[in-house]
Amino acid sequence: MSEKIKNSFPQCLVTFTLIMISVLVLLNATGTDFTVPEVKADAATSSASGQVGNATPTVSAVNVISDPITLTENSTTSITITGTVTDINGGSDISAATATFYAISSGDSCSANDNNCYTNITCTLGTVSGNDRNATCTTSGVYFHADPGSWGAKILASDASASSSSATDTTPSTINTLYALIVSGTISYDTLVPGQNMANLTKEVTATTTGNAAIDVQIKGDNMTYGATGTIAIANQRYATSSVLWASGNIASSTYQNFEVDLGKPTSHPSTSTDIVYWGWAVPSGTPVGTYAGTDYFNPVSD
Amino acid sequence: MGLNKIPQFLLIILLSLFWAGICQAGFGVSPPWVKCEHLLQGSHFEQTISLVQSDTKTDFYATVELSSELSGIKDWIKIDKGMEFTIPGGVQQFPIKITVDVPQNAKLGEYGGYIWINGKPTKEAGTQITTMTGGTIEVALKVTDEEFSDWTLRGLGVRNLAKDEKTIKAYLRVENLGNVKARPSKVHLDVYDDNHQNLLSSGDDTELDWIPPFQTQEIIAEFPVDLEPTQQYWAEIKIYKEDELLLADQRRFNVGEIPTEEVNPAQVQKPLEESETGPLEESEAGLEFGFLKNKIFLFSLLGIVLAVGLGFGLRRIRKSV
Repeated sequence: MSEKIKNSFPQCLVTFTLIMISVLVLLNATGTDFTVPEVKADAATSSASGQVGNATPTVSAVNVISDPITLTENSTTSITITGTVTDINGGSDISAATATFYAISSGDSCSANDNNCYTNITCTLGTVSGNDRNATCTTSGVYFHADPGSWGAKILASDASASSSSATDTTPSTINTLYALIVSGTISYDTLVPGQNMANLTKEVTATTTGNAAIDVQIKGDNMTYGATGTIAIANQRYATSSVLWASGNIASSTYQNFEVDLGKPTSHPSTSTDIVYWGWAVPSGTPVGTYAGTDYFNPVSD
Repeated sequence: MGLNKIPQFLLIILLSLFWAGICQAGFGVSPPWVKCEHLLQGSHFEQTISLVQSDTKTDFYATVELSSELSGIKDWIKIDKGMEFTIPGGVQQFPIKITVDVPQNAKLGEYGGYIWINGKPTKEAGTQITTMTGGTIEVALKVTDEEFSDWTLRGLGVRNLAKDEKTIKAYLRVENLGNVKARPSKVHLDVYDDNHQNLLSSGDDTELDWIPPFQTQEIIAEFPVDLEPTQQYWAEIKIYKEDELLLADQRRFNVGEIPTEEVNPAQVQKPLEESETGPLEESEAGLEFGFLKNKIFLFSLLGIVLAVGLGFGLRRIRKSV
């Protein structure tokens, strides 16, 4: 019996060895990398191991692509901020970035406000290049009423261990002042007989400022015409900020005249900075019968 | 049947005309001025102004008009697009460049007025008075005999070097605000290794190109270096205005090609606030499984060594017996 065991022992050993080799092959096939595990070394063993510490990513070269920035009246304008994120654990450790676009006067820790602070702008991270990844952050839109002046950008980047740091643009951009205006409404005057004028200025047009600064307006007009010969001079139209008597209205001119409306800077969208301009007309005696047409011009100008 | 349809058809036309009448497009100017208070006799000054509109369904036919106050200097002012131009439909921001060339014999003093951008009206049926919105550009110029020097930095960059390139180039975008040529007095550069710990190279450039008055240009500061290729580096840059340190900043740059790696978008986390813990737990689970597999590997290896050792041992005993 013992001789039998003695004779079969080498076979057992071979079988055992083959099983062990099979286990190894199986483990290799499942993609196990035969490296020292990335965990703290067990003090009771003597295997060579160490922990690679996490480094906080750093951000550099933060920049707003366009400078100066021109806003679009009554609309939004897309702004792109770029930067470089570096992590000495390797660029693939960089996991996320967000940006803030802010008026310098508000500081980079500002609260979201469409006039001076755009936060949580999502950034797209580019290809890993060594320890770096480029971040490209595009706002969904900066509103027309964003404050004019100096604006900065900040990018906050984090890695897979949620370590984060930020940097700001060292060469801030300028948002240009935008004077803009929408005038809604056309004017259809009361029918008058020659020699008459409207008792009060009652025809309304609404002026709304759609820029980022307080404005007044400048107004001028063309003579009204009918056919080839009928003309009513522009001075027969008058305007005011309320429905005043004809005699109290401002006389329209063929050259621009400053007109005080004191439209404040819009602070929200759509703009609520509006004023009504009231118009009236007179028909000089001797004017032929007809439907006269003309144009009145409105331009925004500094308040 | 055709006759019954006529009133509806007319109503639609009338409503369309009414709607066309009340929906007026806005118009804006940014910046709304041409201002310079440091012009010398012979100065050349440029200002780019954007004409903006949010509603761009149709072309905007513009005519330019100068106020009577500018009549004395109208020959100084040129508009690159001319006195009549069309802003094509679909264009929200239309830049025009206004240049001012002050004659050598211009009288010293202040000049002001307005440049108006008028829309050319299209008659709207059924309305008496059409309203048009345009732009006003304020002109405020001062001709002086005093020199004024100032500049500001608008941008800074360091581009990557080719494998065998031996010069670092720092690009500075400088706006000369003064009426005489200007430039940074000095640009200092320190080059550090990838870990931003070891200073590898240092240098100054004090011979930068001059920027003409009132111009914005990119100039290059150059620094000879001899750096290992296929590496990443830090450049610390200091820019001086006279003796004053105007700006200190840092930039990354590569020498030669750095291997790149595409990252699966699924691996990119969402913005910080939303994703500080979730993905981390996932990776910890992965780490645990890997550790378990490594343990099996070590035990298997140990088993083979023991088996082979035991086999050799037994064979030697059998031989000696």
